[in-house]
Amino acid sequence: MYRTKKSVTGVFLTALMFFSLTGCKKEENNNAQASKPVNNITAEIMNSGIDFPEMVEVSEDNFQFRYSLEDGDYSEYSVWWAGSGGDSDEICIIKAKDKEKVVKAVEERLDSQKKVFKDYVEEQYDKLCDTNIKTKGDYVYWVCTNDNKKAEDIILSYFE
Amino acid sequence: MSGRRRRTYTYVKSNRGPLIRFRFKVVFIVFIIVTAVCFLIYMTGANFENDDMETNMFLFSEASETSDSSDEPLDKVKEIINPIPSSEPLTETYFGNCAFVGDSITVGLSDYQLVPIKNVYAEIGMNIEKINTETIHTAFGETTVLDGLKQAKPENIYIMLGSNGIAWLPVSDMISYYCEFISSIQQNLPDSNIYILSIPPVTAARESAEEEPILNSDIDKYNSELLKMADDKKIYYVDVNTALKGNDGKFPEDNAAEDGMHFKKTTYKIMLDYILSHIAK
Repeated sequence: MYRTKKSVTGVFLTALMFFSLTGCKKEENNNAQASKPVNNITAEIMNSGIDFPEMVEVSEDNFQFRYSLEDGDYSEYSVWWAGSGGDSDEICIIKAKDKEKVVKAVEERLDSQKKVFKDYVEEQYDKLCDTNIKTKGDYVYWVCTNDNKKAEDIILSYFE
Repeated sequence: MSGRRRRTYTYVKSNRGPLIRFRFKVVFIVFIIVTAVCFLIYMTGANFENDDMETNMFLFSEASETSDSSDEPLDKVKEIINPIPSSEPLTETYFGNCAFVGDSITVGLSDYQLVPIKNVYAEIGMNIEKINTETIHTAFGETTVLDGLKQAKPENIYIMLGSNGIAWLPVSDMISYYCEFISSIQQNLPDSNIYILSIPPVTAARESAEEEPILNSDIDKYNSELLKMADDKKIYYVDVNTALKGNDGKFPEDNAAEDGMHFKKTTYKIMLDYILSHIAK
């Protein structure tokens, strides 16, 4: 009986140690912090030489409306999108408070854009299909530009 | 001798009274105070409770310049002159009372942040064939355009439809769908002023594009049918096409996006200024 108790306690303590270490690792990943505010990052993308149509820096009202997000869901955001309605170019970086909700909102935004451009302008639809939603710690971002790799490299350079 | 101890009990009478004495007077006073507070809260809420105002506050962030005139009963216009002639220009606060319905060109009004986004009932790829059935993202969730307008009850509704469709839909079909849409708005929103905006021109390059060319002559034919429809339906027609085209009858390249059809931001300002100076009296 005493030996069984000892064994069970040992297994329990080992498991506890294992999960604690795993928890530490996750916490380290979630603490990824950009070295500058997100609007600095998007400004650099806009000035990087990538070819953009006429773009607009999106106000918070418009951002919340199109992404169906509220004040409590994020702590920072920066979005630029094409103003004309005929282009799908967009840059979006959000520092999430509710990461699951923000990721879902961004997925819905991307899906909605694909849906409207699919039978409308094939070239713009292809550009949307060439993009993915990515995360870095609490940051959620996606870019739809004429050079997504360059744009994403700029974003990641702020996390080194 | 039994050896049993006799237990004795001592009762100590407390000199304190009960912790809470029942006083009828106190209860009565508390009741009066609570009733008075509830009454005040109710009256305060009732003074600010107004269904129309709640709906309109959702859309109208600023007071409208027409609000003074709308304090008087809205007179029915006996005679409609189309296209609307020029009038004394209003300021942009007028747009707080307006809804804008349309396709990707109308989406640009909100994407360029020129009018409140909640006032725009438009979607990229929208056309006159699906305006009655397609749901879009509105301030009231995913609704049809008509359902969104019914909830918003805007004073003025501006509609621009046809650029998307002119290349493949017969004009007669487009006008038929348009009539159906206008009729449902008139039935559901009899007090709203309806303005049809003529569809804008395209550039010379778009006319000769290999993929989906659009001819300005087809646009002009469609717009003339829209004008007739506006007269038949007794609604307003604003000729923004003429305001936007150049001397050669085409959309100037400098004002157009790369596809020769969509607008740059400066072009929207030209259109909005034209609207502000062509308001029905």
